[in-house]
Amino acid sequence: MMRTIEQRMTELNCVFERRFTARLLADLTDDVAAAYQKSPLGPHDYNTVRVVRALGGAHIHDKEVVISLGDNGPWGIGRIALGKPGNLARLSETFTSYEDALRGVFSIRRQAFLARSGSPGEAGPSGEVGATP
Amino acid sequence: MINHPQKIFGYSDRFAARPGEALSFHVSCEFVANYQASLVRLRHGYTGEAGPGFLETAVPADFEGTYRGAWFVCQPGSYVEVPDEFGLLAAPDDFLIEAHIFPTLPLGTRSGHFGAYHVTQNSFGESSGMQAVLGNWCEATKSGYALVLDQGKPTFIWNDGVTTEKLSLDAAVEAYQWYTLRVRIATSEGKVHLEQVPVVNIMNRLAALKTASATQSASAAISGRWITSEAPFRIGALARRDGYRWLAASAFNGKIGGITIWRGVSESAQDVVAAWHFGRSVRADGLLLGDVVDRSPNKLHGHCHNTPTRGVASHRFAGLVEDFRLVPDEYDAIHFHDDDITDAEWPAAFTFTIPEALPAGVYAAKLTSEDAEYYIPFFVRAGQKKAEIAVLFSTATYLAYANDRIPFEANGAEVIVSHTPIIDRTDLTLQDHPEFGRSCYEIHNDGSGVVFGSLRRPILTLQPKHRAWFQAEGVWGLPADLCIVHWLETIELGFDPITDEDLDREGFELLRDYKVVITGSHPEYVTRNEIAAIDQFCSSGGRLMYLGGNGFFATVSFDPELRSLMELRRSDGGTRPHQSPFGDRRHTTSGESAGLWRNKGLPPQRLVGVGFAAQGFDSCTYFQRLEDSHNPMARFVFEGIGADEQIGGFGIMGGGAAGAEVDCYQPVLGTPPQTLLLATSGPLSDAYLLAAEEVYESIQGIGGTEQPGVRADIVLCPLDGGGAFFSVGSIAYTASLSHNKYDNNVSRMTGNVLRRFLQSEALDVVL
Repeated sequence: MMRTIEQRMTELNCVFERRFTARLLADLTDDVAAAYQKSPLGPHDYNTVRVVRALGGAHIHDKEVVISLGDNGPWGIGRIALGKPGNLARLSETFTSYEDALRGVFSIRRQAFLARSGSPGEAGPSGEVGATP
Repeated sequence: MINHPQKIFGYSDRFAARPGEALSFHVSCEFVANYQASLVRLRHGYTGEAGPGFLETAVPADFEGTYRGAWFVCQPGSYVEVPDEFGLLAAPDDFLIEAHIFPTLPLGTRSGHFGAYHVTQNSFGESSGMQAVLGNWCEATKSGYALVLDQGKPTFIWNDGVTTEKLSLDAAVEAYQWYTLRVRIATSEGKVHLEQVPVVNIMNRLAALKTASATQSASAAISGRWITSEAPFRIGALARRDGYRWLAASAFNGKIGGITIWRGVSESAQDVVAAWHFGRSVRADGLLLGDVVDRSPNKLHGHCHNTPTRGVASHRFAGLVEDFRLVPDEYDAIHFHDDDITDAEWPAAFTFTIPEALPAGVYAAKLTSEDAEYYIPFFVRAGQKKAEIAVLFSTATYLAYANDRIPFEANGAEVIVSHTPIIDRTDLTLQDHPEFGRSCYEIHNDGSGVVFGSLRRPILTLQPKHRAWFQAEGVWGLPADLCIVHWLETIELGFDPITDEDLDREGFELLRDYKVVITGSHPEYVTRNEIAAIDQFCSSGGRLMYLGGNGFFATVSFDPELRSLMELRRSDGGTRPHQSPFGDRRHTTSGESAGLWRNKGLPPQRLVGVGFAAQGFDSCTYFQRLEDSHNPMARFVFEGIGADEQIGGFGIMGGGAAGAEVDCYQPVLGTPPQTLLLATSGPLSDAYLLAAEEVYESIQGIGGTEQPGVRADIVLCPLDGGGAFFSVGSIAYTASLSHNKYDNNVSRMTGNVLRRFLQSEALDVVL
């Protein structure tokens, strides 16, 4: 039976994803994590930039964003979730600076990536509060 | 008990009015029984403690009072409605209907990566499974008839007097393929026949020999006992009743054109009932605006609603001429979208005639209830008495960014701004209201780019307290320009506001009497008339202070018959969020070709000395003085500022005056030779990438640490006749004005320039 365009594209995406994951796994070192934690808005070295871009370029579904909760903070983290109020599912933790919220996002992504790829990771904020502010 | 959040939304019919002129305000409420309306003068927008905070002043107004809160539907979906006074289209007895279609979302869902930001998700949800080509079918009363796509299958739907009947073809149409659809309703023979014929066309996705599309047909019996519909006849959507309004329903995604309806079954005895030609204009200038021409003797002319895209390549497009005015037959098509919304058509809640005594400025109708607040900003223009200073508010750019939803739909949103988006709470409210439509940076439900912006719908990004997601603490658009407003208030200099559409319409005459014109922080989109007006102003002794970045960059047009409507098509070159398809790149409201002014002979460097160089949104930096800053002619600029003092290493946006989107001195693109290069930005990171229009082929190393062209430059240029311009080349600049309660070197330098520009002596006269 003739394969569909969708099947072929999926196959190509899987090939790329394997290579991409292997590369990111190699790049996502403790030094990179430390560099991001030190300065979430950069400037970053080449390797850290590649890691931050790789994690930040993920599919928008369920992706973390920072939410400003007041005129001068605090800031929270939410996940893009179509169908929820505001299309956002908020996590419970709040932060006193947006830099700290960015650090929180990075930790979540790092942990999730390492878990997906079978490597141990750090704990990060993950408790969902559901309703948006 | 569910505690529903109160919400108030609204819009005005236009951005600006002069004393004696009236604006109307249109309001819809959710769970609000009554709301209070009042007039406020907007003085400062940004609410954070890094600036002076949100500032407004109440102003008495005759509309002030309590109003009943009512909810109104805002219904997207564009269509052509055809008034049919004599009921010629009411029943399809012995009709032969022919239409050409180019469906772009026949099955209601899309997949893929769209545009520069890699949009992959649609926060609007799936589109309707039924998309109307034409007809007057009313679903509620099961009356009338229509030619539709039903789950992608061409279908004729009618009521035979008892039940709803459908005649569908077996297979769904392919997306991005032209078809001819024909329905022959032979009432006298008791038969309806439907056929679909693929059309060979240059714009089809697949070449003719490689497509699976084939001619299909089907027939069914018909009784001819029509149940006449009360719904209007429409092309591109059907109608559903909501009170006194007929809203859009089952809206089409894709192009429709080449429509003719004949009456008479035999080929030899057919009369044309209607023959709409979407490429023909009713205007002498050939522009394709709201009116649609019927070339039949019945003159069943139609009118567009919610601004479907005209001037698009039709099934006859040959691919040799791209101007719809020159080859109208090749442009006999309209691209409809089910998420087009350019007029919510809410009734006016109140109107406001600008009193003669009301000073010019930035105002808002403030609407409040117990738990809700909404501002409808507008501009009061000068009356007879004018100030010496005019501020050009970038209303075209406001409309381009209006209701930006990118961080909820695009994989690449984070990559382009180099950090995780920081969402404003207002953005969540916007997500709950997809019906308020999209910005011109976004992708329609069918994957095509949005090319119209309109004021006549709630625009949440226009709220004066809104912060944009792409820069930490980002003031953008009106909130950023309110930084200029409050700075002028602080230094006790009055101004008259000017909007883009006013300057486009009135040209140089609007500027003639001012000594100084100050731009907003991001005048990205302007019209040809605006560029000409500013050029003439500076050539005639006027002084321009360009206090922004990425200004005078790309082409927009305003609808000459509907000034609240702005058009912004995208070309296939340079920095752009998406691009209009080949053949569809000419503005139907002006005849302008889409694209960057630098690619159309009018680079911003010629006008203001600097032009777009780079963008990056991680952090901003300071300016450092250069050799020309010590030129005696420039001494006034730096009075009170040290010879080696860094300028603007602070600010609301990213901590510096230089950043976000930046412009550089570029003689090769027209910076006048006598221009003084006063200062350049401090180091910008590799998050700042050289503008795409400077990168002819993909190369590595286009970031700020490797490319000398990634920078913001401050320039001063004296002009013959006493005119001059001062340009800062940075969007972040105005967000530094208020630092340390305005006691800082950005405020000082800007004030030095403004005060000197107000003096009539030429700049080469050292005072």
